[in-house]
Amino acid sequence: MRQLASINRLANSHSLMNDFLSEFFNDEFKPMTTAVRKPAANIYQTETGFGIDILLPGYAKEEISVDIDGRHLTVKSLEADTEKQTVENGKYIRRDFRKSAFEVKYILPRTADLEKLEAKFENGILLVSIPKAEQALPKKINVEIA
Amino acid sequence: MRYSNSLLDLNRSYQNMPLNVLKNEKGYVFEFIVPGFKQEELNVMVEDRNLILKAERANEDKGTKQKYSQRSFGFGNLTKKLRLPEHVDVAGLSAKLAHGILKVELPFDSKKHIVRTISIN
Repeated sequence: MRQLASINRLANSHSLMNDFLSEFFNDEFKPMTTAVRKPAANIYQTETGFGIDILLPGYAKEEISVDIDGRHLTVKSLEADTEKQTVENGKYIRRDFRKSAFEVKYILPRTADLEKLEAKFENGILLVSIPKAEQALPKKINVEIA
Repeated sequence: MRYSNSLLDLNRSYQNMPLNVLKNEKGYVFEFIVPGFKQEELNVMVEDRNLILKAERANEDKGTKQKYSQRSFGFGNLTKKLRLPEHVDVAGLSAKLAHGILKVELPFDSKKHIVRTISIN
């Protein structure tokens, strides 16, 4: 709720933000529902591109797949049964966290240059970055005053 | 099941960092979930039988403004404090970071950790 309120506040303060929000809240970047766990993610845009940071502690990069099909981005765990984790002969007496299969899908914006999408895995966070297509970048034109 | 052990639910105010605690023959293994932190940003210490983990992000100025449309996790600093039982060997503490999980191993103190089987008459 608090998040919504702050988003609204931001949106009212800036018409550019409105464009941005409507672009994002229609279909783009909206995760499609899946049966498996959906990891926490931050989605943002900068002047030159878009970014999705997905929280995946405990995974190795070999255990994650990133695919693009059209404008659909899919990030999922590769191991079918991640529940079979090596428990080094002992037992959990407290367990807040476990690695489980996940899948998350996003529809990327039309202004994104999908050819240049990059993914990087750093300390348990998958960082996906997609630059904006050149025609979508803001243009600055200096107008001379006669 | 209710644990009276001091390793569990100690300090309610530090509940925000997920934690796994595993007990095996050698001792305890703590798994702190600290995605996004680098090794040099993590600090494990023992003070008055408290195990303290401090995760402090080095100031990183990316220089570009990010407008978030969804924010599910933050990048703040974290602290976790756990009261340790008497029967552990604090000098034998070791820690390893892999893929956003800090694994801290704490062996039992063989002098104080006594396992006894009681026969039933």
